[in-house]
Amino acid sequence: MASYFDEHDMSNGEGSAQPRPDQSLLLRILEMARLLQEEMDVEIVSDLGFMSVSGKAPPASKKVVEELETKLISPASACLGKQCAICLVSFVEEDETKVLPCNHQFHSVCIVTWLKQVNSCPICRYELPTDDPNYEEMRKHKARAKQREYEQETLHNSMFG
Amino acid sequence: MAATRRLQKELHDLRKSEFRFFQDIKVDDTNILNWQGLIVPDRPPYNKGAFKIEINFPAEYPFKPPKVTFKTKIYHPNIDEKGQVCLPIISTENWKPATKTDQVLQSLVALVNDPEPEHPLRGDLAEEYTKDRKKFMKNAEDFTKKFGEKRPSD
Repeated sequence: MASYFDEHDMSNGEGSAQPRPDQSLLLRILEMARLLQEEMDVEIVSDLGFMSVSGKAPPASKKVVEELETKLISPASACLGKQCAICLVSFVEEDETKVLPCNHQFHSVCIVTWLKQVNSCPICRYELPTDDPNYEEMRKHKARAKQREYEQETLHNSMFG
Repeated sequence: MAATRRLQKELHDLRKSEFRFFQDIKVDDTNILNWQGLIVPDRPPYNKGAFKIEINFPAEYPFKPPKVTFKTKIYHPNIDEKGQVCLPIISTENWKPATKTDQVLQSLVALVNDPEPEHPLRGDLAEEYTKDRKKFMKNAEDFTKKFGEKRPSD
């Protein structure tokens, strides 16, 4: 009588470490799936790579900076004693300043120096547009992702909320 | 130089405020870009000593962030053997010119008092901190007593 192991095309014990042909195929598919996923992860990371390599956001768009309105400090606003958050010097009459869309005001020299380096407000991080197409693309992408998340949540709440 | 004027003002304000966790501020007259001082934590295990630090401001300050280094050895998951510390508020990507040195120091003292084992510079200490808090506290206290500076108020 054929032994149990012969009947099942296996050897006693020793063979158990060797995967059966169908099993090894399955393992290979799983391995390929894992590699594929890893590769996709790498791609996603390298897409964002330009951000982490440079470490910081790009400068503000030259045109946008040029178009910021210049405001001279009036005697009335000088006596309020507000100071420029960059140089920490109080505004005095006739100081040339610029106001960002977020309403934060700085000496023109101070803020222009900063915006040539990074595109955000030194106080609240309000972001000005940049001349960097990759960064703008990523910003749009982020905004879209946020919008999608919001829509999904609204949909979910309308069904289960 | 813009950096000099702002730093003179910050130094003046900091000395006047008598910030109790940062004392003994020493600044070289010829180079205001280099500050030294003593971090005086108020929580165990670091409240058994004080720690000398150095703050180096770049010439482009406040458009570029300062760098902080520990000069006294410290047993801490977020400070490595060279005295380097990873402080998000002064990292290149987070830096903004409106951040003042007293805020940087407050954030540093908060990190010393409350280690963040999730972002360690010394994995071995982070592991000990998470897995065996008692042992970590004892080691850190012994280390502080051995290598720490004398506390100004004691």
